[in-house]
Amino acid sequence: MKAVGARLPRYDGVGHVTGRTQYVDDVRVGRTLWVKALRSPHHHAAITRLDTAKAEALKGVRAVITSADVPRNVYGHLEGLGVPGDEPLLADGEVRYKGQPIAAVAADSE
Amino acid sequence: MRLTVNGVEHEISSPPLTALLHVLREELEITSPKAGCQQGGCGTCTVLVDGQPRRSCLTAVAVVNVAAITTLEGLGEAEALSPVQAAFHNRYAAQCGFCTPGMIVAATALIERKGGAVEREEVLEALGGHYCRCTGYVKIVDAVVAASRGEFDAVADVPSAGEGEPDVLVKGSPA
Repeated sequence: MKAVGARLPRYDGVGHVTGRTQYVDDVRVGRTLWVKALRSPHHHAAITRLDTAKAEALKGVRAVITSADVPRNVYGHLEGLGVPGDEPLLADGEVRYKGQPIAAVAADSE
Repeated sequence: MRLTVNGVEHEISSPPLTALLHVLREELEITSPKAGCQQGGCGTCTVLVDGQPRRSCLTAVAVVNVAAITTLEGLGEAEALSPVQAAFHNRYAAQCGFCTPGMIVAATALIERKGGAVEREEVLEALGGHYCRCTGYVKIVDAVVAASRGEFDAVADVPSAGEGEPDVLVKGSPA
């Protein structure tokens, strides 16, 4: 048991101190798209109209989704643990806080 | 526009107001400066601009295109660690390592500026804008003080693993 109570060098230590350790954000996967959310400018409001046609027509835009495109529009999957599934992934009919995502756009560039 | 990073001059195509952090990470693929809070609060994007620690997330690239930029990659390599890098490694001052790039470049600038041994108070001041969410700051501050005194070897208060390989290794560990 020579390892117990002894100082062993960390196998990832040199990578950490030289900046070579790769974190998820450091990995570049080719041909991925950028996603941006359209967020509510209002704290509480009804969504009376949602037209994605202009966004879809933009060059480089690959997809625009709203709540109508999300089959089970719940953020998080913890209902089995008793966490209420009361937060929609994308706002449906109304927004309940400023900054709530309403639609998401996937495109070739930011 | 041209940008000199770790002694190498690059021709870059990012717009002039792009954050230096994003030019380094996205265009030059120099990834030791981390995109942490991206609003100047956490310190992990810190790089040296003509030797001074700067938040690369808040620095427009156009402002520094005539300066010498140094990132953690430019301070030392695996085979030739700088004193601060060696002290961090040997004294277990990096846990997950995400804050380490900012910590080490800022500490290096402090020691350069003081030109010798630094006190704990000075380290706390210099690293005050750097967040570590893993552990605490004790080992980090210890490592910087030790490095400034040239004591960056392993601490001798606990026996090392002894002669040869230790009997027990964690399964799957590359060590």
